[in-house]
Amino acid sequence: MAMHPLLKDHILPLRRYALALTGNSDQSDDLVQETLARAIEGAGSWDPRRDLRKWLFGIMHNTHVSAVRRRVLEGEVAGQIASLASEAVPASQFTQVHFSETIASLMRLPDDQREVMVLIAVENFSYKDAAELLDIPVGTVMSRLARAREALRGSPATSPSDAPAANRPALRLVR
Amino acid sequence: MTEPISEFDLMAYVDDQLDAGRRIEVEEYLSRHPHLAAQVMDDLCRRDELRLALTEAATVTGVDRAILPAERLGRRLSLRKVLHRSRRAIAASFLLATGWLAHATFGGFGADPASAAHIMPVYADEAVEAHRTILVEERNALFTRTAAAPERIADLATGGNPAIPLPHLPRTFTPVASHLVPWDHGNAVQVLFHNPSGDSLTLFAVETDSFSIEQPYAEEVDGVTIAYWQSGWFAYVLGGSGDRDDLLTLAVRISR
Repeated sequence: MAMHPLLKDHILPLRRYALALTGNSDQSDDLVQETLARAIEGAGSWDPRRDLRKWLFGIMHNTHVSAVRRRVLEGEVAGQIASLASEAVPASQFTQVHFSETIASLMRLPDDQREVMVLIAVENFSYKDAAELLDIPVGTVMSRLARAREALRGSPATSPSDAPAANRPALRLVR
Repeated sequence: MTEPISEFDLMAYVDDQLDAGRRIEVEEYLSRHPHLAAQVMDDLCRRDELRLALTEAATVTGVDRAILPAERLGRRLSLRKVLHRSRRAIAASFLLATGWLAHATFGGFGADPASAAHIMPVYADEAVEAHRTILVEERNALFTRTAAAPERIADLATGGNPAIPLPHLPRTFTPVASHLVPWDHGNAVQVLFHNPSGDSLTLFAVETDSFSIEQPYAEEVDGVTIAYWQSGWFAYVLGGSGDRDDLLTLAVRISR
């Protein structure tokens, strides 16, 4: 059955974001499911003038946050980091190792930096839209992004908090 | 006079957030600062790798459990678009909502068996739709045999408190796939079975918002034979293409 035109372009990006958030393909699959279920429940209040993609990502983000809270309450915080790198990447390719490293370095970022990195660098959201869907100020989005970039540039051993903040000019909002 | 190029501009350049004018200014600046240009190239390269790697990882997943709910969400959103188009349509949505409420009140949950004899409950309607969808998916090989046990899906449907209890079909029925199906009142569990002759049969199970005990009742809807019953807080629908009485017999057998 052909996927609905309104949605077919959004499933893959939602999957990517779910993978980045959970770091685990089973959990990301569940997250996509739960996001769609919540979207269906909330479809009655969706305003067609709104950006569908941003709406869906916002639902996914909130769903993830409450799932993490639930898991923390249940005392089963997942030791998930980088398991994704080995399980989700196709074998027998020259690029495999490289992809694994790329994903592993993404998964090593703190959650808040990883979120903005994926929303902006991978999903191409504007700084403003990312800020709105994460419900944080634009300045915070940009400083998290800058720290994420620094961490990705550095060696894998460099923890982001070690990055010398003093070397960086203060970020300034242009518009 | 143009503003000096800041670190923010370089970051916004990588993220494609600058207007054309500013982008050209950044590029001119970078041509005079090869060291920064190399760093920007490096960031661009990492960005592209990240996109590729995540896309690859997101595409590899086996069973596509997103198709069914995405289809469903698409239909709902299209309806919202249609309803949004004119004031008349908005008025119509009130009518629709009222009609749905009446249906839900009298025909669905908490149906009064005396006054609404065999008005099909809402969940049975959903089960028919889900049954037809999964058959199309099966014919077109849109999913592979699922690894998830039906019980795990039943657990997921309610967030585990309590899981929807699933009736046991005879051992000759083989479970082929299980899905979470979002519907108006939460999540339903749908399990696709093959009977010994290889015919497809679905079991649809939901948590309802009213306690009731209803014996199985069978009917044919849009070419799908269904048998539905309610057992306490949970309602079940068997869907298939075979004989109505056979399905009813099976429903009676597994509902006990």
